[in-house]
Amino acid sequence: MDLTLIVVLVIALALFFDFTNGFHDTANAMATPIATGALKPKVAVALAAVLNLVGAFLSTEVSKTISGGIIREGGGGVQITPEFIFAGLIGAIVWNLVTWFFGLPSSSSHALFGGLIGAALVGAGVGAIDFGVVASKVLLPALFAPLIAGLTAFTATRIAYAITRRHDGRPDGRGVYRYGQIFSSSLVALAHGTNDAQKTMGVITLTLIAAGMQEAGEGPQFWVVASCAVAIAIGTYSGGWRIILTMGTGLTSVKPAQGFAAETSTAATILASSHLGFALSTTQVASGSVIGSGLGRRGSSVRWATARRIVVGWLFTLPAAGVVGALAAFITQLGFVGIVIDAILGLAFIVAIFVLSRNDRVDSASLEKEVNAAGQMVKIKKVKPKKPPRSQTA
Amino acid sequence: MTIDWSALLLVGLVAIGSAAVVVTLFSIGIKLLAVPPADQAVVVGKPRDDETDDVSDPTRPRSATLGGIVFFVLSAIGVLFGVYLIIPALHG
Repeated sequence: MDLTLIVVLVIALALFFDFTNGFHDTANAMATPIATGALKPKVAVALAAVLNLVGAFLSTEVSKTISGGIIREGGGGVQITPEFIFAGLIGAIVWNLVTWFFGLPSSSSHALFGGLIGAALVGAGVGAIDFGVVASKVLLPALFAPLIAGLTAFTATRIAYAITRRHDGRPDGRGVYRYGQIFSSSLVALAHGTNDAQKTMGVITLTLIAAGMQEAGEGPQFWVVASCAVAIAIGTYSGGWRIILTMGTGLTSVKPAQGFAAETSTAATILASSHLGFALSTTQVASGSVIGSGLGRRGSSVRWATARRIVVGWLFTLPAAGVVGALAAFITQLGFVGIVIDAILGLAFIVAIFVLSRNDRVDSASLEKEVNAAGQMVKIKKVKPKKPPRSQTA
Repeated sequence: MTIDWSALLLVGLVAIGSAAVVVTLFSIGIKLLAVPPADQAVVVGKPRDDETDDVSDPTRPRSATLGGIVFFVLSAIGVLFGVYLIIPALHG
């Protein structure tokens, strides 16, 4: 009875984590088309949600270890128990909600790793963690992901502007990039669905195996795949508007050519990384691309203060989720009471952050207003110096 | 700690290369759609950078329109290759 309850709790938490993963990462694909007006906010998140849903069904090659070798599972390391996963998930969810509240794009996978690491530290001590793998899989990629994506997007943006620049004063047709943006962003959303929903499938499958409800070595069951797909799609559709605001207008003011270059770079970098054996975080790649495209356009500026805040968020993701995961794991050691306390505290935190977020609500309507205002400002700036010289030459 | 530097370098080069190809193809398509009709072709002025121009010029040469479409299709093939890479059932 006890075991069934914890399994149900873990599945519920895992699906909620999947949901936060969805709305946290909508921005990776859809912040730039929303910012340039290529897609209306509601249409953009609906498109991303459908692609995430489809993507989740496309691939079920769940990795054997959800932690990718960071935690030494099995003999001499951590005994994977539902309690352990439960505590790790609480850490990951809490940190995802905190970063969402501050509008910071941060990696959901790193939050999950952090939560599990914290839980493992309490359960089995420092020896359970392979810190070499932490450095090579989490810390250094966090440095390289934005660098590679930034350089790619910078190059792509330069190319786009160089090719389409006109010297005869006629329209250059750059509005067409908005149509391109729809496709490049869709590609990013689809790639996200195939990657991220799988993490939750892995967590639930691992829990079922640990609880003896499923044979080890079997893939995820269909209801697991379906519920994960639906959870990430609902999360994506509910739209992490705060993070979209940061990515779309906070880092630099994105224009169609830049948006197309940035999302193409994000897709190229993610696909290259997942097929050539050097895993990079989608969120960090997407942030790097937006910054790179900001550097690549003449006369645009990057708000480095925002970029710094985002990077600080990345640095804290693993340890912060780890601390919460560790606390949660510590409380679960009280036994059944501990799990109930954890569940109540976790629920209280979720409710509290949603209540707090109502004070300065960001939704699709307020976002659209903001984007329009930003566009207007740029237009006025652009038109003023242009008009007089042209009328003089004519 | 082991970093696979060659894999990292390869990822970087492939990412830059493939993004550059797709963006180049799409941009050439846009450039072709913005080709002026022959009688207006020679207008010398300042470099023009505008962000949201749409060009719908019925007097544009037909070859330019066709060329534009060809380059958009080529760039779309790049995106379709991405879809192919995403779906494991397609490449095993």
